[in-house]
Order: sequence, then C-alpha cells, then structure tokens
Amino acid sequence: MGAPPGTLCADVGLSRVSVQFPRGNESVDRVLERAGYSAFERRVFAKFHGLRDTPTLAPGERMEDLLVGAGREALAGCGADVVLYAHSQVVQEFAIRPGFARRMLDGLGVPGAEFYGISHINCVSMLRAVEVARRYHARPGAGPGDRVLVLGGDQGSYDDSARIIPGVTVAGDAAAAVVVHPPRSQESSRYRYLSGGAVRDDRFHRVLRMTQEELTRYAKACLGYVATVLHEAAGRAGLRVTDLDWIMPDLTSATFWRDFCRAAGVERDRVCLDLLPVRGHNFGIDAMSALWHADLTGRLRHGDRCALIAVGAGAYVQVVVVEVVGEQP
Amino acid sequence: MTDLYIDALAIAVRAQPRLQPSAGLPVRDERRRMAAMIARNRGIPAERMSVRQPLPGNLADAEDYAITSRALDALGRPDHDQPLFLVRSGPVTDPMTAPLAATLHAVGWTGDDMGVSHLEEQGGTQVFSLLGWAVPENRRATVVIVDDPAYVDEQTEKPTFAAVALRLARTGALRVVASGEVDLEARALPRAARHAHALSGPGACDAWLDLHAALSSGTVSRGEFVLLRTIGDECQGSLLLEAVRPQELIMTRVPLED
Repeated sequence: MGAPPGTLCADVGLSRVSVQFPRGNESVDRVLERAGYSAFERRVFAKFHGLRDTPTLAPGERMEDLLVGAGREALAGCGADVVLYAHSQVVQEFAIRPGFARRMLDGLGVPGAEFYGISHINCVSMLRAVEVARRYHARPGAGPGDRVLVLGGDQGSYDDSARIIPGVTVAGDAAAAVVVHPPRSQESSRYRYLSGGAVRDDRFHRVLRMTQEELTRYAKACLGYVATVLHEAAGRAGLRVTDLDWIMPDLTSATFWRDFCRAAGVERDRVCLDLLPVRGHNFGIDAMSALWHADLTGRLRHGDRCALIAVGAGAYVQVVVVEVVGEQP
Repeated sequence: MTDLYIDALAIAVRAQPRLQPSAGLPVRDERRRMAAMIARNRGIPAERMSVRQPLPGNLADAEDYAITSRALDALGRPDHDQPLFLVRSGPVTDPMTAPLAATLHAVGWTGDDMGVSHLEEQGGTQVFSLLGWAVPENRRATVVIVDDPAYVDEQTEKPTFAAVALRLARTGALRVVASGEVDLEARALPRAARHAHALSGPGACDAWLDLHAALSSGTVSRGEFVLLRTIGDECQGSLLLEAVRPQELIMTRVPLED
C-alpha cells in the first residue's frame, strides 16, 4: 500500500490533472493576524516561507462544487468504476451533511461507482490514493476500460484553527482530480506511472500538540525522509535523483524546500514552487497542482520525469514518479 | 472478489460510554462548537448533541485511539508486516492529532496503514468490496471497523461504541463470499446461502457484535452461511460469510474501561 515495489501492481497511466481553486482568496497575513500572530511572526511566513495568498471559498461557493468540478473535468465526459476521495482533515464541515458520498457520485455523473474516502494519513492521501488505484487495476479480472477517479481536496477555511500549522504554513480550499487508467487502456494517458515509495514515522503522531522540541525533530526528520524516499522511488524506476527533471513538491513552505535542496544537493530550479506564493498549501493536492501548473505553463516535455512529493503530519512521506507522455498540444 | 478469509476476530467495547450533553460544555469549548456545527449540518437542534468524554487520565482516549488500539491488542500482532485498514467515518475527539498514526505507535505496528472514510454505517460491510481488490493477492491484512463516535444525537443514534478488528487471510475460518448488494437467491451463490443466518443493525459494528455472540454460542455451524447487514437511513449493505471452519476462528472480546 505505502511503498509498492511495483511487482504487485499495475503500471498505470494518469490523465491530465484537473485543479479547481475557488474564486475567493485571502492574504496569509490577514489569516494570521486574525489568529493573533505578531507582525514579526507574520513576516516570517511571508519572507521566509514565501506564503502570500491562500485560496478561500467566496460567499456562496461550496467545497463540494470544487470537488465535483475538478472530478468532472478529469473524467472528461467518461465514467469511472471507483472514486477514491483523498482528504487530510477528519473534520469536514461540508461532508457532515448526510449523503455526502451519494451527492458526490451523482454530481460527478457516476452514480453506480464505488466511493471510498482515503484518509487518516493526512496530506499524503492523494498520492496514496494513486497507489490504491493501481491495486484496482492489478486485480484479477481487471479490464482495459476500467477507470479510477482519484479526487482530493479539503476546506481549510471553515475554521482558522484548522488551516494554520503554527510556524509552518496556512492551508486553503482547493480540489484536484486525476483519472488512473490501466496499463492496456485505449485512452491516451498524459503521464505514465514509473514508481513510488513511502515511509511513516509514527513517533510524530501528536501533530499540533507536539512540543517545540518535537516539532524541531519532526521538521528535521521529514527532510531526511523526503530525501530517502525520493532516492528509493527513483531507484525503483531505474533512475538516480539527478535523472529526475522536476520535483512537484508539497507546498507548505519555501523554507522546507530550500533546506531540502541544500541537504540533498538538488538544484532549486527543478523544484516547481511557482504556485507557492499565490496558492500556498492546500493539504494533499499540492504535488498534483504543481504538476498541473507546470503542464499548463508549458514547462513539461515528452519524456520528462517528475517526482510528486507529499508530506503528511503523523508523519508520512509519499513519492510518486511519473513520466510525461506526448507533447503539450 | 479475490478469495478472502477471516481467521481472527477481536472486539473492544466501551464498558460505559461517558456521554455529556454538549449544551453543558463551556460556550467556547471546541467540542461544543463542533457539536453545534454537526447539528447545524444535520438540521437538528444543537441541544440534541452529546459529546463522548474520554476516560479520565487516559491520554490515548483523549486523542481518540484507545478503542482501536485495544481491539488491535486483543487481535494480537501478526507474524509478518501486513497492511492495516482503519474504517472510520466522521469527526474525532481531537482533530489536532493523528489517531491512526498514534494507534500504530501504541501497538508497534510496522506494516502499511490507511484510513477508509465516508462509508458511514456501511463501513461494516461495504469496505469488503474495497478489500476484495485492495489487499494484494499474496498478502494478509488487518482491518479495524470503528463505531465509536465522538458526537452523538441521542434521540436517533444508538452507537455500539465499539471497534471490531479482523485478521484477513487467504484461507481461514470464515470465507468472504460476497459484499455490497447481496441477493441470496442469486444463481452464483451456493443454494445453502438462502438459509443464511441474518444479523443486522444500524451501525457499522452491530452485525459483527452479533456474529461474535452467535459464533461464541455455537449458533452458527460449519458449512452454514451468515449474512451481515448494515441498515442506514439512505442505503443498506450486506456481507455474506461462509463458516468454513468456525471452530478455528480466534475470537476475543475485551472491554475499554476506567
């Protein structure tokens, strides 16, 4: 499930990624000010972490609509056999109203699909859901027309206490979706899955209740885990980390990636952080949205190898390596 | 569905769920706010919501993983690493922590892990449709189904406040025959399934608790079938099991108490 060696699962293809941001936006500074952060602390978020704006549902906008919008765009008028909805938060105001799964399936136009939330692993949930989708395509009796919709997204804005990770980041509202195709699919995939890797260190399960000392250890440990899992995942694809063209990062903060690049010897211009100041961290969809943005802006070329990286509280690290297939039309 | 069997079943049940009316909490208490939010989304008065109080002095319960780790402890550690699926829907007591990671830390779990949510009461049956393909063919797995809500509408909900831990294998005491919408008259099923023992309830764990009782009392014999049903407001789920070698099932039931 977490660190698939590849032999047990299908080498799948992925559709183009679809991302939906709300119309609204809020400045990170304002969110922090409302929560009582000092001017100095707020400057750290802006100057060092590189966070400026955070997507925030505008009045009248609904998180369910973002999820449905992203999902429908990824489905591109076709169906799905399974919908895996990856989420980080266990408290989801929009999903408390009874019938959430049914509303999602109906909204997505796939009323007969199986629907499962993938959760409790925090911000690695969306990349993990890609691995779960591979299991579906590896099952006995799997068909070339099978489709799994991997959907992700959370609403940070329902409560400031849910969106601020003290000293680290501010999270927003956004949704992303991608269709995972089987290896022999008739559909043309935009990305080919190459490999994956994962690690968990459950010593850090107290998350926002950790002491400052634990938080410092956690941050340091995550740097090491990202480097290790990235190395392992690249290795499973027969690559070295230096062979990877792009890193699609978790967008919690620029500080983390500066430290990572310094420690791991990775060139900073290979880490796609363009979205960080304007969209910031959006729970589990960050790496997917970085991939989406890089593709949208014409940075990706046929054959490029991209490592999608997610870091989740708890602590979890998940990496998926994909190869770009075909040129941008 | 790939062949799945259950060879161990452990149940942890709260001896005394400690429910407190949310209206009795301080106005600024996070749990009171959460209860009000749940009530608002369900369209019921906030006064109907009660909040489950953790066991006094029990950090694991305060962080909402005591019942899961108790069930896993009762199930026993697997011989080798295997994936663990935690089937749990809805808010937890303390959203500032990671209950699944905490559980794994507490029991020393070294295999993979993943939570499965949004199945609500269907988690007791529907999850087997997922497990049928999500568990690798050559692997065993553990699944924990939790019905231990932190927030309860006492007028309409009667949770079991329990966790059911199951060890899945490729051969074993109970065979998973079918899940989802099971029609016992279907030609694909053995004729004996038409006489299946039916066990049902509105929560994810109800039918499992009844199954535990039925197997303990010898009500279910070798070769018989059992249909577990979860009956929610909007849909129903079923799981058909065959008692292949019921006498070999390892069963445990433990309380969670002060």
